[in-house]
Amino acid sequence: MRNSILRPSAALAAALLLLAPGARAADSEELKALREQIRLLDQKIRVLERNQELKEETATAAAKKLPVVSAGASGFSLASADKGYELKLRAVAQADARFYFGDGGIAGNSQFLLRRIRPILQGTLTKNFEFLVVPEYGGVDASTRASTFSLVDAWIAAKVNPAFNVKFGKFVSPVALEPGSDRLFVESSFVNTLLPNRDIGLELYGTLAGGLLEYRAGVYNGVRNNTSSIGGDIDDKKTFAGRLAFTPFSKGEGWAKGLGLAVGASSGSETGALQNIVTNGQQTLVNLGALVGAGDHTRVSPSVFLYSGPISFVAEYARDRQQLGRTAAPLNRFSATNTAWRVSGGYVLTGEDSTARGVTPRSVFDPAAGTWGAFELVARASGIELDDRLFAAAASGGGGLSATTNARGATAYGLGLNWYFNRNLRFLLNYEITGFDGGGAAGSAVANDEQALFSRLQVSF
Amino acid sequence: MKLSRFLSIAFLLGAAFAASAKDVQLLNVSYDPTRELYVEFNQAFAAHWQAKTGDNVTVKQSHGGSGKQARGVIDGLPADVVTLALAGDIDPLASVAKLVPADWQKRLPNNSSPYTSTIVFLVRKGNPQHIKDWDDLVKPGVSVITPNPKTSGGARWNYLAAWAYARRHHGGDAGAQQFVASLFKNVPVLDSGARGSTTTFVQRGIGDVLLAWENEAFLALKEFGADSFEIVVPSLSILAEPPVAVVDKVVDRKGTRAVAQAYLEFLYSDEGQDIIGRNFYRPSAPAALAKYGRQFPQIELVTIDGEFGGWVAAQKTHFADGGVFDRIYAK
Repeated sequence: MRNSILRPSAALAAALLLLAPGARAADSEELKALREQIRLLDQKIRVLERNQELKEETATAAAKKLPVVSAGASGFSLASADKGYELKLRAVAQADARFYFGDGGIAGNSQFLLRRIRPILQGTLTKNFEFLVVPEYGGVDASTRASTFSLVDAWIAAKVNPAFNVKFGKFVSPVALEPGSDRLFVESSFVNTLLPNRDIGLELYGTLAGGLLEYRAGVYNGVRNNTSSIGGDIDDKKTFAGRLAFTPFSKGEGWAKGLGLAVGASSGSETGALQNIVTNGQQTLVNLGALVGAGDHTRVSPSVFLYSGPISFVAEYARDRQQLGRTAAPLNRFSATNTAWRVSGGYVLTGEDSTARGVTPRSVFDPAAGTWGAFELVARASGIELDDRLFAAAASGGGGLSATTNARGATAYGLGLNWYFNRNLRFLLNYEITGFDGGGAAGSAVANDEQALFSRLQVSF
Repeated sequence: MKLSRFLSIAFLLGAAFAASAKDVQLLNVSYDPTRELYVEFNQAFAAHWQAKTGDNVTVKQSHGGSGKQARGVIDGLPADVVTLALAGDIDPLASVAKLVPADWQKRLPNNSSPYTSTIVFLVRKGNPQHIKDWDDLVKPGVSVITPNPKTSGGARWNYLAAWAYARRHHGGDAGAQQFVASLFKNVPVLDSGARGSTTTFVQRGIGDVLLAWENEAFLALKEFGADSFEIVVPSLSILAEPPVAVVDKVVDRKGTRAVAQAYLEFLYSDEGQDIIGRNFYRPSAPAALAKYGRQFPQIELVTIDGEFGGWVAAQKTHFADGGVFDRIYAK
């Protein structure tokens, strides 16, 4: 800023000098000398002002080159001045408590659990490249009960333009709407037990039609249902997968703005061990240990979703068809088609908008101020139907699975209350009852209806 | 779907996106006083390129002290072309950053200088300090405005022109050093670029004389009127040869080599040379020189090669850290 005080002072000095008695003789040498003094004084002031201006310009330019450090509800970040390079540190931690009622005394299922402990390292390189690395410290080895470490996500993406981008690495599969999770409930529904979670591969993605149509298409190693690929593909055959999501009214206003239709699908060939099919309470619905993947595997999963004001609604369906083989004689090979569905909805009692990412409370939890955050009531109905060939006698070409220690299908109904303390902290409480088609073997998870009370305290930033 | 088929489709999709890209953007990183020249030139080139290829080309301009601009390009400013004040500022793009080949100056005519200029004095109307030649600039009480030779190409031309004059009239290099030191004692403000110095002199009303690019002096007369300023032509000055170059590594990465090359070649065309003359730079083409030559005063001009052994030697002796300028200005 220029020194605006000095200039009037100079003018005042000049006026005083001109009013002085000696200055009245216009042509006198003395007046010339005074004029010269004023000129020099004026120049000095101007020089001071200009140098100060340049100093400030230099300081401003230097400040623009300084890295920007920020900390807030979205995490911590360090970015170059032009945002071309950025490193963000985020995290998700989930502490669960789960209890089962009327299960006939199955040991070890009611427990406290560190479900997910994930530091998230996210970054940008030269504006056009992004990366994400997410390790998981919350895993537990089922047999030894020892903590395990795994890499949940690790990818790098080249951002060319909104319509065309390329991603390589390990990331969420495009088949499911919410791979490995459910926005409203502690655990995901039957749909996700038939779909892949994360896979390793190369994917093209982007948005078309001004953002109304979102696409993902890629080639991947191929992964068992409800699991994440850990690399080391055991065959050379690849899986092709993709997703299209259409939000026709997202540019407009009104209740339909958050309406979307999507379909995900995959086609490939997979061999090797299978992941057991589980209930919404994460207990074994069907033990597939006697079977392996033995060829073609296709999945398709359409969905419709709506987020409108405090209301959310999701309907999702999955159809999974896979060539299977028995691991013991007779070594039958057959195709099994399993299907699952879910309908879930929520209503934010405190009136905030519900979004696919969650709810941001208008006022955060602060008892001293009399504010308690946001509350959301949620409900879910879901079901699964398993192919009869899984349970058909091995002698007649089926899978020979037990129809009493396993269930042929299930239907579940759940209710829950989610409490959003602030953008970073939430508490979820769900109660869900699942009835089984078949099952009944004493000691198995499908002996009686599953009555599960799940709770979760989640911190994320 | 087989992998090869998937990859073929992906390739075709990518090629389709690439083929549909009809808008091209260039970044011209230039020195301070060329703003007006390249505003006019860029419009002419865009029209020329569209007529020739059908593509729309937009040229973004970045201006500042020439040395500072070169530093920016070395540090990652993605310039497709550089049009700087002196070859000594483009040389580090080859020697330090390997962004251009070492022989970059041989790739276009006239040592890659499509226009030249020189250094003159701009004084206030009536020339109240009676400034006629370099000797008048070292007199006590004369306030001289010139930018900082460490950051400004124009300032380095100013400095060397003063040195060349003093070498002839004040006893060789030793006298020249003393002369230039006296001159810089009369400099109250060191802007980082020539346009900043013009602002200091013309708009802020500081100083008695501005050491200016000839084109900048003419521009000041044109914009602020001949009733405010006068140009004083010294008895000797220096032939300034601002060079241009395609930044190879950037254009190859962005895929803009063809248009960047054409952009610089257009500077040598009849239309380009006419724009150059109209903006008070000295054209190199005979036709444009004949048309605009009369507006430029006749001055004895020394050259950087003849007087100082080229830019590499001049830079090392005078402007490198610890060089003559640092020593005289520190005093």
